[in-house]
Amino acid sequence: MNIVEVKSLYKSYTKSKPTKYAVHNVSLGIEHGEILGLVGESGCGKSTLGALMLKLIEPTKGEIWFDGKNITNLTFRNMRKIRSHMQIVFQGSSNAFNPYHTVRQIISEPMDNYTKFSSAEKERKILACLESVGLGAEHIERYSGELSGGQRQRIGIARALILDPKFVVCDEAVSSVDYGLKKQILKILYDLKQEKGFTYLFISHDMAAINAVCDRVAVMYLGNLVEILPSTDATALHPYTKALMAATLEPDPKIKKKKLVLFNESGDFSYPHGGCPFQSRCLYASEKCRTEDQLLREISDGHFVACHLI
Amino acid sequence: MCNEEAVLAVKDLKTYFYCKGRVVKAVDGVSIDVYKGRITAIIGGSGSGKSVMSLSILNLIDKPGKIVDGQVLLHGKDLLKFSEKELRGIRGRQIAMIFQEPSCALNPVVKVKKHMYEAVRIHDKGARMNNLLDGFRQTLLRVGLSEPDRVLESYPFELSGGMCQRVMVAMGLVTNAEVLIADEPTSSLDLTTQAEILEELLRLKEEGMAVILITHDLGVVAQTADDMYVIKDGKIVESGTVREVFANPKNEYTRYLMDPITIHN
Amino acid sequence: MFKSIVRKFFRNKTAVLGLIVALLLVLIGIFAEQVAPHDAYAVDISQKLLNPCAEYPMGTDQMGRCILSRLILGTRTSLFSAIIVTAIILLIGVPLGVIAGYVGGVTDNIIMRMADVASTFPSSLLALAIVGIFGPSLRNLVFVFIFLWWAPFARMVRSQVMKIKETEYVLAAVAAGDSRFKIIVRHILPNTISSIIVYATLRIAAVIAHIASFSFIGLGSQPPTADWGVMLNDGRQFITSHPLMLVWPGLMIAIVVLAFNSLGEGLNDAMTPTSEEGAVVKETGAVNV
Repeated sequence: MNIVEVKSLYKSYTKSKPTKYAVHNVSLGIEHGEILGLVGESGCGKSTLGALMLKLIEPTKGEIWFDGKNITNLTFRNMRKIRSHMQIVFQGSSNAFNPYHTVRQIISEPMDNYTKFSSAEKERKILACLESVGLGAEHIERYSGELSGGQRQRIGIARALILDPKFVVCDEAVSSVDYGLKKQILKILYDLKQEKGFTYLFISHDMAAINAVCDRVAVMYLGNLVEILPSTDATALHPYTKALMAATLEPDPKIKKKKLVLFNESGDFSYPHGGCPFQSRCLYASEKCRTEDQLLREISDGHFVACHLI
Repeated sequence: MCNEEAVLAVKDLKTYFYCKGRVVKAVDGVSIDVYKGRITAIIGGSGSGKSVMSLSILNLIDKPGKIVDGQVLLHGKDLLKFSEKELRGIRGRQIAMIFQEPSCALNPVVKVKKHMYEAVRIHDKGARMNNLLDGFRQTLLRVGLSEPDRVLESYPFELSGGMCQRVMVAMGLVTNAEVLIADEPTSSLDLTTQAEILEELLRLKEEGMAVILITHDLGVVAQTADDMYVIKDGKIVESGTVREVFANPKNEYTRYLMDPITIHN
Repeated sequence: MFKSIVRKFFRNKTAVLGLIVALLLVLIGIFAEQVAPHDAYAVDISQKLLNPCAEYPMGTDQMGRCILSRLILGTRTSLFSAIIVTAIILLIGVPLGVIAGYVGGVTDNIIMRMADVASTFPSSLLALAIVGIFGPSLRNLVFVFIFLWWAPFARMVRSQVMKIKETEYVLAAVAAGDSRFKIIVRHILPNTISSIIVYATLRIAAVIAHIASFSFIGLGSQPPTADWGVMLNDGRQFITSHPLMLVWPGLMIAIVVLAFNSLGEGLNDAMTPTSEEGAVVKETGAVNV
């Protein structure tokens, strides 16, 4: 069963005509207990989609379902009743935390809203949670500005997971950290999922991280879903996914790639009106691609592609 | 690693930071050699001192940091003994540098052609924009920007991150730099854009440029570099050609970095 | 966090000097009667236009009143009306700015159009009009300033709120289940407070300068009130024979405005979070993960 599902979702930030969509006609479900990867280049709307699923921002059109209920039109007040089940982890930038709050205040905020724990109990929970992300009691009085990038990243995870939510959006949760730390954080996220049965939407532009933890991978380009891979080792069919895969660098000089770039580099990046969103950069685009819209089609079991050529 | 003479050699460089009575040895006795037509990768985690080292090469260290010891030899001449004025002649002209965030390094309200013109003018006061434009177009084509006229007339904010990074490379090229220092040139870019920039670096290398590539990504090193140095806590822990090191990593930290992310099966 | 702001502020010498002068002036204003050597309103024609001497450290004016005492009482008039004006525009501007910025939409539109109306009036013209209708007095002038100056304040707060509303920590607070009120009070206001303090300090300086200039042209405080602008006006006739009568209040205005400006600038610098320590840590990675 899907814990989260969006149906024909649109989001536009501007009122200008013709409308530009950050998220354009996206339908996607995330099953209980899975880690769904969402990849795409910066500005493709993947973070917007993540925020929409939690209704942190309002959709322009379409429906959002959570745990079998349509939450599209819930008010801010009614959303608060179910927010304890859904959380978000941001990229550990300095903007992810109120600069005037200590780690204790940051992590206890969700508990203040949803639980009636005594302060001693809260303290115990916070310490346990810090420990589970590899931090200790010495960090509890610090302000976010006094933490390193990697520590901030883990505080973000601790804040999101303190209430044991059912569904967590990880928005570029490992993009700003170096290799060693990336491994640690992915391990933490994966172990917590195994232990508590969380469901994740794992948003990233890092294919190595996606391949390491995800069950399925959705690929986004200019606001549209172009492919959903049923597993990380499934063969990519969409030309954009292929280009992404080709651009992933093997950390082994023996497997040197002949060509890293697999699309029309100088192509127009702007949003095309009508037809496939990738048409201007695609090496194989035909007349049909410029005129006819193409929605996701199921090619084989669980493998969806939006491309006229397949 | 190579029998030729190094274009740029860093010898026993030490850059320390003095704060609150503490000494932080950001770079502590690093020696590297950079050769013509090769990409030399410096790889390390955050805080390993790799960026401080690249800034030290151009003597761009500000207080509370200080280069305490060592030499930076460009064709045998020690840059650290140069005056600020002489160094300005070197920066950009013989050694070009590109950074992680290209949009930060370019003034958003100055057109690309003006940026390139300024780069030339630092060394050649008499240069005239009109005489240079043809050269600029050639250079932009060389770095893979297929519409040089449009790019020259654009402001940096109108270009994508990858295009800005190419403009930065082009600015290094118009002054015929011999050495290019690329400090995490692709870390803030998307995979596909990263691939474009890396292909660019490979092409420059083929044309005989010496490239220093600073990164934390082993994939980048494996696919592009010829020589590599692994830096940790300000010290080189392992060095060699990329093939040697990858085939037989001796240092524990190098092995840790090479250990692939396997969590989920 | 707070400690580092204080430390940074106290490293800035001009700002500390500004703070000391400002505090001193407030104290002088409160205890004006006690501090003043003479009665500021006592007329004694026999003692008129004296040069500075032991009895009258700054001399006397054309009515034989002690200039120093009048300056000290003037501190109360100028400084306190400036503080009142600033406090009221804070009380109006901050809530309106927060509401406009946070709620957005039609509410935002209405508030901002009101602000537009307030800002399109040229201040001197409006002052002339109000004074023309209700008669010249400091109170009327204070109303004019409040009417005009809540608008830029609200606009500043609104733009700050709009910026903060989009930050990840506010989104995270929404996700953490905070109510709208809590988001504003706990996350948005604390992060605008530094700009508010800075802006208010600079505004005090501006109000003082304006009140003095309006009193000088006769639209504000009226003689014989002890007001720096009025004193300047009095001194005008004696500019050649007794220039000191103009110099003292002029100097006073300059000092106060400078003090509040440097205090504001100092606060601004101190509250902008760019610690050099942090920069070093980032450069060298002195903090290990």
